[in-house]
Amino acid sequence: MKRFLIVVFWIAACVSMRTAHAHATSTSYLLIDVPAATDPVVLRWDLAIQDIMWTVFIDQDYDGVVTWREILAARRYIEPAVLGEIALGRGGQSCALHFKDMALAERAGQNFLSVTLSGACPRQGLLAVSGSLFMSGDASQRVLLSSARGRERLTGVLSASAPAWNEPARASAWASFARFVREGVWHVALGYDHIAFVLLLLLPSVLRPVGGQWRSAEGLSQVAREIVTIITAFTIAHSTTLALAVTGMVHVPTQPIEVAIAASIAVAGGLNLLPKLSRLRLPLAFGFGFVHGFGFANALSEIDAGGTALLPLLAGFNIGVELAQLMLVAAILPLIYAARGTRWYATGVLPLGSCALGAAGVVWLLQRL
Amino acid sequence: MAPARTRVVLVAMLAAAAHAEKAAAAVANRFVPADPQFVVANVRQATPDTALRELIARWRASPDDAASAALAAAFLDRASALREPMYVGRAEAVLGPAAANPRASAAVRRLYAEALQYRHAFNTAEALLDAILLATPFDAAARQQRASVRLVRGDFIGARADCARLLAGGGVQSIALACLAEAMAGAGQLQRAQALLAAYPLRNDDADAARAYFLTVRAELYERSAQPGRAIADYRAALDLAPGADPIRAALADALTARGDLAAAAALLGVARPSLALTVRHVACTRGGEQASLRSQATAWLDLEAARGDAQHYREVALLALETGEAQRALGAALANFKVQRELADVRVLARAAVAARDLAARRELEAWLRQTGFRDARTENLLAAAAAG
Repeated sequence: MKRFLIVVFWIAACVSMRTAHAHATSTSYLLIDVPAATDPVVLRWDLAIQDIMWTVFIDQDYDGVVTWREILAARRYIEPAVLGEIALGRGGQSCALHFKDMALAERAGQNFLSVTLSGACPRQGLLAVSGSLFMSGDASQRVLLSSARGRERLTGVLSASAPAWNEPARASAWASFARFVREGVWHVALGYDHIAFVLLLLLPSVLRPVGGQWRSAEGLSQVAREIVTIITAFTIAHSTTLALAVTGMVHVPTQPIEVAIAASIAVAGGLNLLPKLSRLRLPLAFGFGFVHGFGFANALSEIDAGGTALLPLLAGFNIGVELAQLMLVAAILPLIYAARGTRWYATGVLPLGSCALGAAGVVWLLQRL
Repeated sequence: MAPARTRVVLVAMLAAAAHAEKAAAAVANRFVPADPQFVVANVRQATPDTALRELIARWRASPDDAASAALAAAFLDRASALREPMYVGRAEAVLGPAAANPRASAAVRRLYAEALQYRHAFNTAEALLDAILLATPFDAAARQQRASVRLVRGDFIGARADCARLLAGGGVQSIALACLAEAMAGAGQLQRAQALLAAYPLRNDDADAARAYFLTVRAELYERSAQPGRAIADYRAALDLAPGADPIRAALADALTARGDLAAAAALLGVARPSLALTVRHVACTRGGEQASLRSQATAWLDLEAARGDAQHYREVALLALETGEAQRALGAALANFKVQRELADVRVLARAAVAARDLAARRELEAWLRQTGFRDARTENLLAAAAAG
C-alpha cells in the first residue's frame, strides 16, 4: 500500500515536485575552450559534491557536511578519480589530460567543485569527449557541455546512454547557403497563408479589366511581364524587411505580423472581385510584401542556425523563398493562361477561388486576433 | 508559416530549446574559499545509511533479481522520503539491466515501471505493467500502479476497470474506492463518484496515507462541483495527515488562490526547499521583489530541465507564462502538457491559456474533449462560458 500511495501522489507531480536544489545534483557542467593550434585544450568541469562522493571518499569525519578543508585533504583521491572518469581526443587521437587546479562555483544555490584540466592534444582535428563522467550508477545524471569555437557556441548533453560528444565539423559557407535555400523552399511549401497570397496575386494576372468586366489578356509575354513586375515588387519588399529583421535592425512582435498577413489575404481576395481596382494589385503586393518579410523573419528565427554566418543564411533563405514562389508560378501560370479565354474562368474560377481564399484569410485573421 | 496549432506547440518547444542552450552555456564564477572550514555542501541526503550500504554491497556481490529489487526499492523509498531524484536515477540504473532480462521477476519490472513514471515515460511504464498483468492478473500492486498511470493520462475508462477490480479483489477499501471515484468522475460520472465516497465512512484505523488520498480525491470532486468550502476543508484534513505530500499542498493552494485568499495560499507555499510546482504557484500569490525572485527561481529550474533534455514540465511552464502575461507561450505549453497529462490541473491550465490567448480553436478542442469524456469541472465550464459570451 505504501508504494501505491507513493505512486499515486508522485506520478502526477513526481518530477515537478522535486526541489530545484535536488535536481542540480544530477547535473555536471563541462566547458571547453577550443584553442589555437599550438595551445593546450583547457576543460573546466563543475561537479556536484553529492554526485562525486559515490566515487570519491570526501566526508572524512562522517558528519554529513563537506568543508573546503576536507576537499583539499581529499585532493589526492579526487585527481585520479576525475582523470579516470573523462577521456579527451582530437583528430582521432587521445589527449594526455593533466589536473590543473580546483575551486568552487555556485550554481542553482549550490557549491559545485570546479576542476580545470589541461589536455596535450594533436594540433588539428575535431575534439571528442567520452568516459563514464561520474554517470555510472545514476541513470538521471547529465553532463551539460558547452564549447566556444571562435564566435560559435557549441552545446551538448551527455548521459549514461549517450556518453560521448564529438565536435561537429565546421559547416562551409556553401553548405550553409545550400541548407538555407532548402529551408526557404520548405518554408513556403508548408506556409499555406503565403501560398494563398501568391495565388491571389496570380489568379487575375491572365485577365484585363475592361469597362468594369474581366476580359482575357492578350499574349503570354504581356501576362508574364505583369506577373514578373508584381512578384518582383513583392520580393523586393519582403527581402527588405527580412534583412532588417534578421540583422536585428528592426523588431516587430509576431502576433501583429501574423494578423497583418491574414489581413493581406482577405484584402487581396476582395480586390480580385473588383476589376476596376485591379491597378491596386501592384501597390498591394509591394506594401504587404513588407509584412510577409517579417513573417519570414519570424520563421527563420525558429530554425536552429547553428552558428551559420549571416550572409549565407540570409541569402540562402531568401533565394529559397524566391525559388519556391517561381515554382508555384511555373505550376499555376500555364493552367490559368490556358483557361483564361473560357467563360467559366472569369465568372467562376476567379471569383470563387478569390472568395474561398479571402474567406480563409478572414478566418485566420479572427483566429490570430 | 506552419498550421497555427502545430506552430503554437512548436514555439513552446523551441522556446524551451533556446532556454536550454542559455542554461547549458551559463558560466558560474569560480572562487576559492579563504576559510578552510567553509561549508561546501550538506551531503546528508546523498550519504547512504548502513542499511543502504549493505544492500549496495549485496547487489555488487551478486546482482541477481532479488538483490536488484531490494536495492531499487530502497532507492525509490529514499527518493520519495527525501524528495531527492538522484535516487530515482540510481534505482533506474540498477533496474534497467535487470528488467532487460526476459525472465525478470514481476517485482523488478514493476519497480522499473515506477522509476520510468518519475520521468514521465508513461508509455513504456504502462506497457511493462500490461505485460505483468497479462501474466499475473491478480497482481494487485501492478494493477494499482496501472490505475494511477491511467488516471494521470486521462484514460478514465481503463482506470475505472482497474480500480473496480482492486475493489472486488479486496484491496485497501478506502484506496480502491477513491481510485474508482476518481476514474468515474473523469469518465462523466461526477455525481455518482461523489455518492460513492459519501456512502463510505472514512475509518480512523485506515493508515494516514490512505485517508489522505481518500480525502484528496473527495476534495477534488467537491471543487469540480463548485463546493470550494468543503474542498478546502478536505484538502486541509488531507494535508494534516500527509504534510509532506506536495501535490495536496499544491491543490489546496490552488483552491485558496481561486477563492482569492492569496495570503493563506502564500503562507501554505512558503515551505523550506520548495518544489517547482509550489514555487510556480507561489509566484501567483505574491507581488513585488518576492514574486520576481520566485519567478527567477522557477525559470532557472525550467531552463535546467530543458538543458538536460528531461521531459519538460509544460504545466508549470504554462502556469508561469500565464503569470507573466505570455498567453501564446502559455497556450503552447498547456497544449503540449495536455498530450501527456489530463488531470484536473491540466484541464484548468489549458482552459485558462486558451482563454488568455483568445484562441477559439483551442477552446473548441477542449470543449470537444470535455463533451467526449463527460469530464465535468464547474470552474473550467464557467471560464469557457464567460469567454464564449464575451
